[in-house]
Order: sequence, then C-alpha cells, then structure tokens
Amino acid sequence: MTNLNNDSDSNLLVRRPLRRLVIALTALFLFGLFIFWRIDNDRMAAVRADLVDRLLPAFEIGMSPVNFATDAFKAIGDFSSVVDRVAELEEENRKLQEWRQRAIALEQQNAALREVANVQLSGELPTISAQVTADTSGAFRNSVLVNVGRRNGVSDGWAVLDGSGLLGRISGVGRTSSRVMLLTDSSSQVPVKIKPSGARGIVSGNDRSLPLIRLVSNLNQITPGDSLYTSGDGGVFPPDLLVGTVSIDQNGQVGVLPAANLGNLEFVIIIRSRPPEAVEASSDILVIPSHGNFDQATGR
Amino acid sequence: MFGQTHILTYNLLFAVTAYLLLMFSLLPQESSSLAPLPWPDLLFCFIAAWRLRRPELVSPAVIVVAVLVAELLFLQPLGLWAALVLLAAEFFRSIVDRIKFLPFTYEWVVMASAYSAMILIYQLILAMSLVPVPDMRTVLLNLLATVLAYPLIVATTNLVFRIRKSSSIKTGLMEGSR
Repeated sequence: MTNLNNDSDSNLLVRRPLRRLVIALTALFLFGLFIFWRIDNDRMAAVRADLVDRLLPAFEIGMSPVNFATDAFKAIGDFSSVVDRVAELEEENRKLQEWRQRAIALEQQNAALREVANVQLSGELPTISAQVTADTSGAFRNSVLVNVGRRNGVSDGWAVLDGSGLLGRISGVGRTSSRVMLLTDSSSQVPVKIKPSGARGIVSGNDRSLPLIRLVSNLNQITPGDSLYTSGDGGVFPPDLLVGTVSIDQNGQVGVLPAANLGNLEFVIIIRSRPPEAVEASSDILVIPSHGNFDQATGR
Repeated sequence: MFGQTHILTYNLLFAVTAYLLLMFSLLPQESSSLAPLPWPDLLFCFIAAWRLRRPELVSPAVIVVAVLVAELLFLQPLGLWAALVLLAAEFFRSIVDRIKFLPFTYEWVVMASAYSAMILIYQLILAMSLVPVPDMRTVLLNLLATVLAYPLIVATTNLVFRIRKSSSIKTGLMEGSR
C-alpha cells in the first residue's frame, strides 16, 4: 500500500503549506465575519433573514414527508388506543370536576380579559395570521420561523400572539419568511405591568426554564397567579396583551408561566404595530420602562 | 487507500448527514424545556467522529458550510463558532495518528477537552465583544449532553457509514515525514 502512493506522498508534501495557508485564511475570514456581524448587527440581520429565506425551501422538501409520516403515525396511534383513552378520559373528567370549581372563581377575571382581548384584536390593531414552518430553537436560543415575510408587509418588532397570549416578536424578515423570537429566548425583554397590583417589570427570557420577571418596582406587591400584561413601555409591544401569570419556583425565583402554548406551535397571529421607526431591529436591546425608573429615583 | 470518487462520495454523505440533522432539528417539536438535558450538538459530534477517525473523508470546506448554515438558521453569532470548529477539525486531523492505536477512551477525552476549550473560548470572545452570553448552567448542560452523545455518534458512524479507524500505517508515515 505504501509503495503505491509514493507519488501522492511527495505531492502532499508540497501541498501541505498551501493547505495550511488556506485553512488559516478561512479561519481569519470567519473571524472577520463575526466581527462584521458584531459591528453591523442590523445589516447582518437583514442578510441572515434573506439567506434563511433561500435556505428554508431546501429543508422544507425534507420536512414535508417527515411531517406527513408523524401525522399519519399519530392518527393510527389515536385509533388503536381507544380503550385506553376512555379510561384516561374518565380520570381526566374527575380532575376536571375539581377544576370546574376554580373556573367559576376565575370566571369574572376571564370576562374582563375577553373584553380586553376583543378590543385589541377587532379594533385599532389589524392582524396577520401565519403558519409556523420551522422550529429554530436550539440549546441557547428560542425562535420559530413563520411563512409570512416582507411580501406580506411584515416588519421587525411586531408582536406575535397565539390564541391565548403573547409569544414574542418578529426579529428578522425575509421575503417569504420571518423569524419570531419567543419570550423564552435569552435576549427577549418584554416590559410588563402586573395586575392587580399595578407593579411594573421586565419579563426576560431564560434559555431553558421559564422566563424571569425582573422587577423595576416593588417585589413584595406580587403573588403567584397574578396576571401579566404588556405595558407598552418602550414602544415595541402594544399595551395590554396578556403575557402570562406569575409563578414562584422552589428556589424563590419569580418566573412567568406564559399564557401562550410555546410547546407545539402551529399557527400564530402577528399584530401590525406602529410605524417601524418606533422599533429597533437589533435583537439585544434592553428596554427599561421609564415609569419604573422614576419610581426608584424619587423613592416612591 | 481511497480514490477521488470515494472521497467525493464520503463528503457528499457527510453533507447529507448534516442536512438531515439540521432538518430534524427544524421540525416543529414539543417544548424541550422539560427534558433533563438540552439537545446535544450532534453536528459537532459527527465532525469530531469523522475527523478523529478518517480526516481525509470530509473536507474542511464542507464542515465550514454546514456550521455556517446552522449558525444562520439558529440565530447564532455568525462565523465565530465556524472558525473554532474549523480549527478543531484541523487539530483532530493532526493528532489522528497519535490516538489511532489507543483505546476509545483517549479519543473521547480528546473530543471532550477540545469541545470544552472551544466553548470556553467562544464564551470569552462573546463576553468580550459584549454579546449576551447564555447562562453557565445551560452551557455546562449542553457540554455534558454533547460529550455523552459522542460514543453513540461514533457507533453510528461505525455501523452506518463504515467510518472506521484506518488500520494501515500509511497516514502515519505521511504525517511523520512533516
């Protein structure tokens, strides 16, 4: 084997320094790309959105048969386990009886919520419906891609909801696709007000666990189960969208249980917000509600 | 040992693997936040498994393109991780003859320490350039998940792709004559 390749061996000896040079230059180029990305974040975000727009169809070709197969598999599974399901449903029914009691207690609050939601959705805020095409959540970031883009008039910063609450906002718009950065993304910051206490804070994403509330005003005013609404401070999100409820875990961390179901997203509602000049495109801006700062400054 | 067509075939095979990996992670899925460990960096595992065994079968260009596409799709900073992976791939290639006849544990340790070093450098550069970094717990869990996934990926490359350690000493002679 060794004898056969004498020729290519000497060839490789000549090629080795060249090869190293190419590797070094490529590494430098990539590092330069990173620096460029860091300096001109907005332009690179636009370039990225357009590239993703081009790349996505290639992945969708592979995804459609898999999606079809999982749907078919689910349907078969559902059909074959009818007996088990009945037992499960009976159990569930018992639990629901208990929940019914709670539901009655929450009815009043719900009525108020419904009123707010109706005003928001039917009134001054027109919406676009979109389908989730890809889940780009990884170990560190949480976002999804939806099938509407510049073509449909979507622009950066717009709030995104599912049927029951805020999901996040648009961050990166391509021609036919755009990215929704979810509440749980580590760079997501949503200014909120907490009802009924009226305290204000920021819901910030926390990679894997529930988003945290960093309170600008008094922490003692809130209790688990309080509702969180967008405050509209900072001008990115329209005010009074339901975000979720306050929950406190074993470690005493104050977190948010999102009202939206972030687990298995299929359809989303995008709210056309104010003109884009009120919106910053960069993904990592901290928006601090000015109201809360005043509270601290004046010691109220 | 292999002709040009073979090398081309294996590069293509790697590209298809990378495509499938990315495609499956793009599928709309149930929330993973309840899982005990985050999803490992399987792309890196595959790169390490190929480059620590048969480095000549996947070219750095294919690796860089795959990582760049992943960075674009998953909203990662552009270029930095790709640069680190490229350097790691070259490092793996350079030591492949030294670990060739050692037990798998050595290879695993090499992979784990390389990945840890890369993550450390990555986090440091991100922090220095004032990019928000993920919290330490997530990073460490991801490191753990990736290191634990490596033997499985090596088994896969062995069984499915037949990427086995080269038993000849040919490459050893070549590297030794540097």
